[in-house]
Amino acid sequence: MNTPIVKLSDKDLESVYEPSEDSFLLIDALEADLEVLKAMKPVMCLEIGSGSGIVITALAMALKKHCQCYHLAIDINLDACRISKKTAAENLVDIDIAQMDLLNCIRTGNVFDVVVFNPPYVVTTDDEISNKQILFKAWAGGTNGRKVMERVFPKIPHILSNTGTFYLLVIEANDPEYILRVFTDLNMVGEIIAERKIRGEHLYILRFKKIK
Amino acid sequence: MKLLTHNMLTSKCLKGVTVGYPLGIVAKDIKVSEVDFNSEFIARIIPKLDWATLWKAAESIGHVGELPQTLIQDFETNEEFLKKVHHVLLEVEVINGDLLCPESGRKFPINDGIPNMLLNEDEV
Repeated sequence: MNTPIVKLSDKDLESVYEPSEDSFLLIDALEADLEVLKAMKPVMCLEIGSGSGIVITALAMALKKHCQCYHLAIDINLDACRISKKTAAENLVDIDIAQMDLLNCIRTGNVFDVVVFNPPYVVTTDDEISNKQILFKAWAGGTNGRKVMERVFPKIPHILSNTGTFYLLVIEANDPEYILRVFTDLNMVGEIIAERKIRGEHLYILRFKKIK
Repeated sequence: MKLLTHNMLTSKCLKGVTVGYPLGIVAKDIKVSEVDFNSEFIARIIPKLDWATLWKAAESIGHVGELPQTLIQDFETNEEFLKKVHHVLLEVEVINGDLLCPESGRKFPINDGIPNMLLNEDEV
């Protein structure tokens, strides 16, 4: 999978999360799954919290060669929405963007074949989630770093198609095993498909599917 | 914002709103561009759509053309029909305007093709 070109100015970096090790691990995990993804021929993909747009753009670039697919990126931050749009355009892929808080305004219709989420996972106080600086939204995860992502979990079975796949990035402190159990209660099966130790963080990619 | 995206959006999360779907569209600027047609893709995406919502959205912005109000049978093999769907789903974009909650009338502005679906704390 080619890494998209992402151009962020110093001003952009004040409000938009710069592609980092977590973004690259997520792209690597999608790349490792590319043959499976191609075989399933997804028609609708969604990224929650697209930030710079690097992940969904990489996915769109890789899928474009094999099948047509609709991509939707959502982010709470208008700057991130604009940058995501720009990143897609610069890499010649078509991604529609909506400014939204997580999945608040997405209808439940089991339509998305691929859902990708690199959530704010850093363990912080719950207050920090609502810090006025918009960049906090990109990383502040509250208690256990799970406070934000847990708002999304119960909605996943309702937006994911029956054969769809959900990719989630977490860190050790979020307790990946606990998250896998949460999804079991949602009638979904998950597994760790990639992990990487970087300075100060142990990153994991979890992949979930519905139990048939 | 493509009409495909509009098909996925709801204002149900607003306090006091029970369905919040479909959202109305008031389009100020519309862009029409050419996108490569892939019949298989369109045929596979149609079952994921709310057809009545797509038709109404296309109609409300003046791009419904000859698209039938009810989904035809055997659409998978009707290339002419699929091309019409392709056009409204992918080639027509609302650049500036508003989305409207069907129950509360709450406006969600669309600027530069990006709908703003953020809610105030007291609205949730």
